[in-house]
Amino acid sequence: MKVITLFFEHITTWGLVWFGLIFWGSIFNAIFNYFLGDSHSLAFALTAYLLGLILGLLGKYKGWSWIN
Amino acid sequence: MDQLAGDSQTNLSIEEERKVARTFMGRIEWEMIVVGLGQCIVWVITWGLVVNDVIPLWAGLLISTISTACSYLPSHAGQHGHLSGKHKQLNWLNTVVGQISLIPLAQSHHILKATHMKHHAHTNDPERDPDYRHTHVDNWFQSAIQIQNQTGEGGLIEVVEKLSEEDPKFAKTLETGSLVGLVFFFAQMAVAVIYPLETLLLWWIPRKIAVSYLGIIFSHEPHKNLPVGRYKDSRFWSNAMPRYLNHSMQIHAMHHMYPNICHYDEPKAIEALKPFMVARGIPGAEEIPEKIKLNPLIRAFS
Repeated sequence: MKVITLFFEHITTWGLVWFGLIFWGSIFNAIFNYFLGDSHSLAFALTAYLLGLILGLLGKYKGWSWIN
Repeated sequence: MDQLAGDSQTNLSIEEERKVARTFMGRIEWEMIVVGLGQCIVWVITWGLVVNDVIPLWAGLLISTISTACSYLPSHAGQHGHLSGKHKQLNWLNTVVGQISLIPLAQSHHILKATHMKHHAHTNDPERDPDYRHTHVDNWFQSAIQIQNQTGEGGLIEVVEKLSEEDPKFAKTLETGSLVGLVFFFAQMAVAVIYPLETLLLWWIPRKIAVSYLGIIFSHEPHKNLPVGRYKDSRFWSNAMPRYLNHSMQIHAMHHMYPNICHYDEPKAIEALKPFMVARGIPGAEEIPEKIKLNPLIRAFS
């Protein structure tokens, strides 16, 4: 039960950051692949997920709930 | 019904008003069940067609945006019990169809029901109306933007905290609904990993457009610049668009007067209740045409 409570607390606090990393990271990665060739380069993927993470952090600290 | 409406020409008492209104209540609003399940099926099929390269992604975006715009109203009907009507044993229809209908919007029926009931109880109250912040703004653009940041900084949180303190049942309902919200939260991330561009263009963008549309048409236009109080908090309005493209929210004042009347019965109810509406001073009531068909409100209002 405690694990579930901790999980909920974590998601409440860090949910937008996870959303930025996974949701927006995946989308940025797909956009890179679409416009820059289907290279599946590790550098492109890392950049895409980093951008997603930054958007998630901005969402959390600037209150941009619209990213979700 | 016509007899009742005729009698009301001379008797404009509250009792008579309620008597007339009651004649329009209690049926199962099957149209909303069809729209609710139908638009969700369209949305799922669109996903299938796009993923299997049968239709292009841009066409999917177009179809999904239109179908998602239709996803809230069936949930709204469920929130007011219209999907089961007077048949208590069918109450489950309100929740089940209401929640299925909200899949494209990725929203919890429980949360929307709880906040919507508070909207009815406290319409236009800046401290208690959950819709206040995207309603009482200067223009469509502000409403469209404001509703997107409802859960963000300076958004709905203060209102929800106040309402939760005052009403523990409301807080409990939000807690139950947040589980559904969590499912949608993870579902979107999971689907984005597998189908990223499709998730963006078939789910995220359509629901953002639909939410802004809802903020403008369902909240801002019917309630903007109006005070608190029964018969005063909603207005009849019109714009250049046909009534059906506004989801008939031009006659939303009828819904606030008697929320138990089904959406599809509102035109007939307005015709019968017009004398009461004029007598009570509902904004715009005196300009309602005698017969409400297709889009007559356009001619009646500027």
